[in-house]
Amino acid sequence: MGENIDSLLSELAELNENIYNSARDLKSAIEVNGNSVNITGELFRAFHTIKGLGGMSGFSSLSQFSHEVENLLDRIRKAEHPCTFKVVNLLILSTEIIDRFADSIRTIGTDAVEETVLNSFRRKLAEEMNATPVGNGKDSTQLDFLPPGLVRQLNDMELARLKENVRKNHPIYFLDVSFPFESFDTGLRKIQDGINRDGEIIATLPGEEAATDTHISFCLLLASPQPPEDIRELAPDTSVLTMIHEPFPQPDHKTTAPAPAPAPAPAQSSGDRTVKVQLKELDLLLQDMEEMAMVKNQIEATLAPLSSAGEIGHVAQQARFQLNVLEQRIASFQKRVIHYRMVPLASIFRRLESSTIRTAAELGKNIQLIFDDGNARVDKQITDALVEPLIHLLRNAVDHGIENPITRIKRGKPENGRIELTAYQQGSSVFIEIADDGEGMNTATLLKKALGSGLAEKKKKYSDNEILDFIFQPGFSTSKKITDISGRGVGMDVVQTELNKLGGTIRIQTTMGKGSHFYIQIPVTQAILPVFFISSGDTVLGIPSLFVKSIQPYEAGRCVYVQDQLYYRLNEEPFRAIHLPRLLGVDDLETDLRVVVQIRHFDQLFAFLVEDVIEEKEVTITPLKGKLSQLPLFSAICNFSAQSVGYILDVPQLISLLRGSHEQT
Amino acid sequence: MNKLEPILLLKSGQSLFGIELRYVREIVSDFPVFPLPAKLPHISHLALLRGTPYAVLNSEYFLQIEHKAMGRLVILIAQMAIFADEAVQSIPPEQLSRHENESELETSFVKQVVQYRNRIIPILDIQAILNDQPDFKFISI
Repeated sequence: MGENIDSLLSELAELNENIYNSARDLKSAIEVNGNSVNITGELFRAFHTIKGLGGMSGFSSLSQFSHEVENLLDRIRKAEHPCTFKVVNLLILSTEIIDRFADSIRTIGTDAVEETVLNSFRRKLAEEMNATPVGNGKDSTQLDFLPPGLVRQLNDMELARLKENVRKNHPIYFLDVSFPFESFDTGLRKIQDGINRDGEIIATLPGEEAATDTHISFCLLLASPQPPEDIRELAPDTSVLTMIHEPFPQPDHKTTAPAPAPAPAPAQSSGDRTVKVQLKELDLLLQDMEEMAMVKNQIEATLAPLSSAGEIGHVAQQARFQLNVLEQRIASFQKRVIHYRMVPLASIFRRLESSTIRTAAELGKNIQLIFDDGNARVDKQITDALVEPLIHLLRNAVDHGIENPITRIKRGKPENGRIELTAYQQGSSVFIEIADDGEGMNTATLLKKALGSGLAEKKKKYSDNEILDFIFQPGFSTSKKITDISGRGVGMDVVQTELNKLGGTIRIQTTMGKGSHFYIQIPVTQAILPVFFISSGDTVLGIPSLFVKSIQPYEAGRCVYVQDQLYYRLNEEPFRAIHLPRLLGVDDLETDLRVVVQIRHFDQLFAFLVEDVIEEKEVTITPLKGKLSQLPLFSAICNFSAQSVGYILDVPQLISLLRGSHEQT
Repeated sequence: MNKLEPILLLKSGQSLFGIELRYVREIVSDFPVFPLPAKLPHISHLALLRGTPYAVLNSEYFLQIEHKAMGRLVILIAQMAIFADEAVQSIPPEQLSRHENESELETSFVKQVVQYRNRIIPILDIQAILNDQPDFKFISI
């Protein structure tokens, strides 16, 4: 791929992210009746830039698309079109189209996006534009309270902004401010910043008096809820402020529109003191550090036979001390690199939101989508891999969960279905929850489907949780119709598989008529994990600490067999148990179980019976790939000592096996 | 019939076998090798080379070559490795001839059997090994 294309794609990705962030800011501004003029300005400029980039690079379709969205934003800027939630949704949908343009440019070198996708968006855009035709109705906005001649000096945009503020009853000021030459820029900025906090500078015009050798003056037309004395306070001491027009005092606040809320603060620019580093470069750094840790282990093993007495012993002791320091440095370096890989979950919200809004529009459902601030930080690799499973869950919530508006009203629910995504970090895990207030799932229907598809057996009794687990079986679908969105039964099993690959797990809770709640637990990173090491025969195994609830001494008398299934009693309650050495085929008559590791998987508990727990430590892990991925029940390895590697147990897979075997009883 | 390709001739105990040269990445003599946590028929060990784990193939499973001790060399092939005691030499195809009773020694993981200076050499079928998906029936809870 050419360097120019790389640079274009990088710029496009950044602009698209900015568009999404601005769209969210716009949504917040609309919610609080805030000032959205700066935000629409930013959005307009972003689309204008994309239009230019597309045009310069020969991608006319991208350029044309941006131009169309830019037209809508231009009308909003000129107050010829209302800024509504529908506009926000259109902007979010447009980021998905820009992604598609970028994908096409990246993969086939042209900006070819499917016509059906573009046409669908264009239809929605046209509907929005036609909802408020330009020039409809007579403009009766009265501006004669302003100094004569002022209105003629304003351009179209400024005039539109002025009328919009007057229509909204925002107090209008017209000031003349004279600044000393040497400080006019900082002085002007101080006033602009003060006004923009809760109002808007509509126009900046030349001052009433011609510039002298020492001073320059500007006229400012602005809308602000602040009283005149506060406006005067904004001017620096070195300047002279003359109020040419100020709003009449309005003691009756009922006639005045509520003060517009401040516009959301624009995202802080990181400036130019940053460099972008490819993720694979960080992976290489980690790999180098891992190798250094192994070399350190080998040096330690080489030093081990040296006796502690005599000159050589003293040197060996010194070397061991230095190796300890080296070990700490390596660990600290690894943690730092891992930290660089962490990104806020919010970085994928754009893709989730646009896809969900599009699904709702396609299905004619009204939704209120609520995402939290997305501050939980997760390894970039995991964040990227989470996009598809989360999109699937959100689309399912729209398709299967949220009822159509008429049904909702009949059921006494708000017309807009609510879908909420929250994420929070706890230790080395991130928990993501997706909840909807739709119709929930009917376990009787699910069981009927499972019986029909041969997944369940007629004579067996299933708990609600076991029935809900059928959803994750390949080929399971309750949808009567096959659509692009659902009904093919190739979704939830893939969601679970993908989450398991990331070391994560998923559980469902549902209440008929009230909605469903999906709980996801994933590690914040797969590169470094706190792990409990246990010995098993000649090998060392690792259990990720996030699954470990407690560690207790093993007592043979607490083992119970029920229908050939092993249970272990903890606090007099039997838990499904695994004899780990036996499972791995490494047990013999000498195998001596000494420890019980209690495993927590959401609300369920299991017991792993093991020989010994060695220690808990944080380790850098390497996923098993190629032929080694055929090693069942293990997901990764880590460096343990010069003599052994640690094999990381795939706990979700083990639990899935346990639950599967339980269902067979 | 498959076209003959240059091979790397390897010796394991008293047995000889070949690997098509295009699959050979590296021959390593000083390497850490670790036992596996579970018994698998087709993978005998895990080799860790510069931080990257490789599955060491069980030559008994793939070639019916009994090899009790660990080899002195690890030959890296594609994403896997195999033990050998000696990397004898590389042999161009023109010095190889097809063995007449090829089927005698063929298994599903032997691509061809060739003759070189009166010695019979099975050539490992790397693609077949890569595609092999054994069914692990030993796991039961």
